[in-house]
Amino acid sequence: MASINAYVALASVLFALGGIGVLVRRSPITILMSVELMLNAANLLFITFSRLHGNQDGQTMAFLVITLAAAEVAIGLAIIVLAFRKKAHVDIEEITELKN
Amino acid sequence: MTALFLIAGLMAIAGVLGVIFAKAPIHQVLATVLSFFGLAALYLSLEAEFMAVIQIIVYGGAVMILFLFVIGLLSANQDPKEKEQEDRGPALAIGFALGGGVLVMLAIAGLSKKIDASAIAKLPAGFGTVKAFGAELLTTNLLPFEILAFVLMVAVVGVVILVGRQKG
Amino acid sequence: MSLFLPAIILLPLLSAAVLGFFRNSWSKQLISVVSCSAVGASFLMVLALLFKFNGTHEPIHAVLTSWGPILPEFGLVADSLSLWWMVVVTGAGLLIHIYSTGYMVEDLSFGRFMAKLNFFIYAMSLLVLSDNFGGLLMGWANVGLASYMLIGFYFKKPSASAASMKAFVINMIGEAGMIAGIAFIYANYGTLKFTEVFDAIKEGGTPLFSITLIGLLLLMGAAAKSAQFPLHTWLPNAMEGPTPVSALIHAATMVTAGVYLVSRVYPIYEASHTAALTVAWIGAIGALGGSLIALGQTDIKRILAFSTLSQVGYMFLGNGLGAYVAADFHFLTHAFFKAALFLGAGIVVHHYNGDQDIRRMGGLWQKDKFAGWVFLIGALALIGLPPFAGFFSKDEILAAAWDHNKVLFVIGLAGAAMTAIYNTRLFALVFLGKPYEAPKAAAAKKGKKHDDHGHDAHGHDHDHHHATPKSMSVPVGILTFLSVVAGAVIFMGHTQVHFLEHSFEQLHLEAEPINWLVAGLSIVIALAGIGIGMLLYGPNGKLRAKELDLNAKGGALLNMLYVDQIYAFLFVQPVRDLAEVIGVSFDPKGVDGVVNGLGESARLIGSDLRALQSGHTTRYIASIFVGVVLVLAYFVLVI
Repeated sequence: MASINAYVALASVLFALGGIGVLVRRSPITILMSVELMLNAANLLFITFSRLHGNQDGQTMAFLVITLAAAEVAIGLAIIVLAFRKKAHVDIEEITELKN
Repeated sequence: MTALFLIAGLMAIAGVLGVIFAKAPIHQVLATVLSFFGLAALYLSLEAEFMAVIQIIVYGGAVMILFLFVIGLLSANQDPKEKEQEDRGPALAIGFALGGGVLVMLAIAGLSKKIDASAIAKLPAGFGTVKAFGAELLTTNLLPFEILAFVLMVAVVGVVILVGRQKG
Repeated sequence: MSLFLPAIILLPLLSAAVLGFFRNSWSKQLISVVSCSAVGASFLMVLALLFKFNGTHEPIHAVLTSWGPILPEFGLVADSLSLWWMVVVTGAGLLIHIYSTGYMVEDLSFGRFMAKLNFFIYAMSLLVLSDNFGGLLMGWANVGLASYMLIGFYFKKPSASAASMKAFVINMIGEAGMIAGIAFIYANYGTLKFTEVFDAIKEGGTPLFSITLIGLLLLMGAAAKSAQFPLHTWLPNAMEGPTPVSALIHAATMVTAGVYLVSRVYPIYEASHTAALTVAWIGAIGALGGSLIALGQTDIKRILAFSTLSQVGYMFLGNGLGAYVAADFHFLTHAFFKAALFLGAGIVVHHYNGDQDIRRMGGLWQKDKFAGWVFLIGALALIGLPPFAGFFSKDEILAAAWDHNKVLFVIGLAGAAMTAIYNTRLFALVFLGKPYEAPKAAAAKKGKKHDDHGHDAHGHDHDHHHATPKSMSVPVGILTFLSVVAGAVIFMGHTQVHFLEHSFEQLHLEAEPINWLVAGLSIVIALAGIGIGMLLYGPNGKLRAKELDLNAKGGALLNMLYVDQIYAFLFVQPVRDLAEVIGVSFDPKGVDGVVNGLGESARLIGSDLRALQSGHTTRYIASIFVGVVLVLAYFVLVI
């Protein structure tokens, strides 16, 4: 097992890269995947500290995150499907309905 | 720094980079799955057996299959590939700058305190196994577990409401 | 008994509030009953207090509330002076209320009118019954408010609206002086209670200059409220209100408030000869000037308005000469005959459907003997011929002038002569001679003129003559009767002196017999004035035809000696010019520049910020990440 600091650093890198994916990609599906990766980075931290403290609560938290992420993906993909029904080509930059 | 950590960590990072840079959605899905497998290996190294299994089954399996379904559904008629645009420079710069900012801050925060190996707790027998995890989930954390079930149900109903009825 | 004191004030106020609330939902009968019974109950309570006071001659006090250290006991007092006034305020007020129920019954805003009348009685009662300067000022301001509401009763008419504002502004000018005077009183004596202030003045120690200043400042308020020169200009415009309002303002309330004030604070004027002499001179100028202007007016109500100016001038004259009892006596008799005249004028105006121009009247005696008698008796009382009421009270004032200052006596006598002439003119033009016949060509124009005068019009044909309802004729009859007998009855027993002396303890009053020289002079002058008036304006008078010429240009008298124009030139125009300068240059470039600059900069900032509100999800996400970075930076760098 590597040092705890290594795990933390890896989680940070994953989180930041996921954030970059959210920011630079314009396909909603890709953005959703990037969000999943960011959640995984957070999960990695939970499980790392769970190991550090010898406490299973961190794992339980990660379990909750995974379940919620599954629900979120289901909803998100449903919205994307709806958007695609309206427009043949979905670009996140073109969905500006929020401004009204 | 063990070889397992290096390999698994690189897999995870490579997966995320793949999501960022791959053009075809199917490649992005595969890159994500790669990242998930790397993370599952890391969970194993952290004595979280159950979570590693869940990671592969739920994430690598169910969630990504869902993505594949949607991609397949939508690309039956057209390619949901991103439209190339002339001037993406500023947006990319902002995105990478912000991501870099997050990374720097997280790194400073996370690495400012060195944690010795001696600080790592001695684990009780069966830590992270299905039996131990399940026992705790259904006793100590029963209420969050039930709420979670409720949330999932709401999500399912929501999805049905959103896309279930297709207008003429 | 002392519970009656607050009840006298609160009943009309309560009635005003209730009627104000139910003015449109209650029937006119109910409104009439409520408003009249409120004032009637006040009147009865005043009478009860009067009888009690007559037995003991001890002032009756009631403490209402406390104003903290400034005025520990804010109270009311019923002493001889305030009771004397309250009898007239509530008594004449009651008669005017009853009259109004007949006069205004066809008005759509009947309830509003009666509520405002009740409020007027409340305000005047508070003014008169207060035992301190604070309550006096409150009543003073409320009277101003009531007059504002009633003069502007026909608020849809621009001239009525303007008249109410004029009255209010001029009263405010006076009130500013009054507040300053009261502030000086408090600064000098540390109390606002009448008795305490007067005791302190009697003890002496205050510099004469201070007392004179206080006296002059209070006089400013009194002159504005009583429409004395030079603050009288609101009075003719106040005729825009309905006729009962004019009667109420002139006879029982408001205009006479200044007389009450001077009588009430008489120790101040006893202490300062200068202030007292100013009061006398202002009164003399008003007495002569008002009667002069009245001679040139063509509007029946305006003539009566200027006659009020003149008569209140006599009261001021009496007050200024130390003849407070005479002034208060004249107030009482004046209230009766002036109310009778105004209410009679209301009946006359009813005959002409709201047309108030006496040039279009004439020969009314044949058609309405009742109004004729009312006017005849009222005019004779106003002129001051025995045995009518005005003679006794006015004679006392003139006698006081004879004793103290011959110049003022001559002015007062000249005013009496003018009074006789203008009253004869008024009576002759309205009741004698031939009825006015509208030229055929002018008939259409006149119909239009009616709309302008529409406030008292009831939409009947011009030639149709109303039968005067009982609710109108009975109060007028009572007032006319009082105009005949009140003066004589009171004077024969010297009631005014014996009753009022309790309020003027410093003076050691004694009942004096009539000064036959003065009385004879004033009777001769009055008879001569009537004779001259009949010669000039009678049915065959020399000036009658000229007077009746509708196209005649108004002279100085019709234009009220140009005082309004002088004020316009001296005050109104400079203010307008200043406003013009501000409006044209300072406001658009200075103030507006700043405001517009602020607006423009806000717009620019907004247009920049608008980019953030684009609806582009990525930009929202980016701003979330900016927030994440900032929060992390805070944790890393600060904590």
